[in-house]
Amino acid sequence: MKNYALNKWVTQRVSAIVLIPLLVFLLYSLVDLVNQDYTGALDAFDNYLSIIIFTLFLMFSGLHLRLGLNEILEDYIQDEPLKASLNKIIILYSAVLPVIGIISLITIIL
Amino acid sequence: MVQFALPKDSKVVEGKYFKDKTNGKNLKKVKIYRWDPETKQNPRLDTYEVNMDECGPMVLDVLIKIKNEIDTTLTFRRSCREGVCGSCAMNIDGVNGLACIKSALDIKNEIKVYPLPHMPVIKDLVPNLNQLYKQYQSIEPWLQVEKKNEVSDKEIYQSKQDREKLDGLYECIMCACCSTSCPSYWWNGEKYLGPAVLLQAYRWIIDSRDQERVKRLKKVADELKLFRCHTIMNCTNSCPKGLNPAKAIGSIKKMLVQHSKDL
Repeated sequence: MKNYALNKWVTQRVSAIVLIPLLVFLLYSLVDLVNQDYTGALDAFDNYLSIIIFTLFLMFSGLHLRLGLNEILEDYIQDEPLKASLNKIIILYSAVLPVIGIISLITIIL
Repeated sequence: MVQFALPKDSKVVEGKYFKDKTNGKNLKKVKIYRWDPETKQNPRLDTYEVNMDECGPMVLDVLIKIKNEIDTTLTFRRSCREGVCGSCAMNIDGVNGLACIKSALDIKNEIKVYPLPHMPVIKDLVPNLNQLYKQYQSIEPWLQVEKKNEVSDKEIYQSKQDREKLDGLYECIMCACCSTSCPSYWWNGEKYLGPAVLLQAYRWIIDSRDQERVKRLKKVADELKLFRCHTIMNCTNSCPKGLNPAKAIGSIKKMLVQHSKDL
């Protein structure tokens, strides 16, 4: 899709739909973790399925977060330089968080 | 930044109280927003006691009675008195609507009447709708054909099925009740086209006789013009004609996806 606005709108909806099953899996895993100690929690992440699903969750939640916060900026901030600066912070924030999460997951499995 | 609070000179203060002089028993209190640019005073909320036994049933009847018999300085637009022209669009009892088809008897307590929200006020209940009309003009609300010479002297046929697609769209009277109830239009009214104009845009996009569908889609496919709609649905709730501008906006988005290669 060439149109940026349309592309963004579709991506936001697709990421929202993809996040539904991933979020269910995350909640299910968190409930399962309540009765585990630290070693048990590490064991729960020590398999490829959990790592892949959590990596996907972190990637899509980062993307969805960026698009959602960008929408709020477009709605409420009319000062263009301020909007551009805040946008850069949002892009950085929504990229750094998933990257830290993914690195942590990889560290567990290695 | 968006301005969340009213400036000091826009704060609404308590206004005059007009007591009923007819010794009526069935009295209704009507509070009306008043502002006169010539006095350079804050807007005020005047209260009128209206004898409903000697008044028509609609809010417009109440306003006309007030103007004719109680306070001739009250200013408002009105014309057809049957929900066709859209002139008497205003905020009644917290909801945008047409004063001529809104029953005053259905409002249990006092009636509060304000001009359409978030629009510049010319006087009292008369908003300045220039911006909305300019936006309406921008979507070129007329039939467009590519080969003008070939069809200029011929009737363009439309099947019954294609005509049915215009139902729920052509009935719009551009009263601006929907656009002025939309928070996205309040914040970004200069750039976002708003539900009324987008419903009209869709009315021409979906018209089988129009040959400029892609051009029209390209024109609205903009982050600010169209995608400020967040499906809040205030537009649909407030439309006095029972139309669904939110659905029309959703349909435009769907058509954009279908025509994404052409955009």
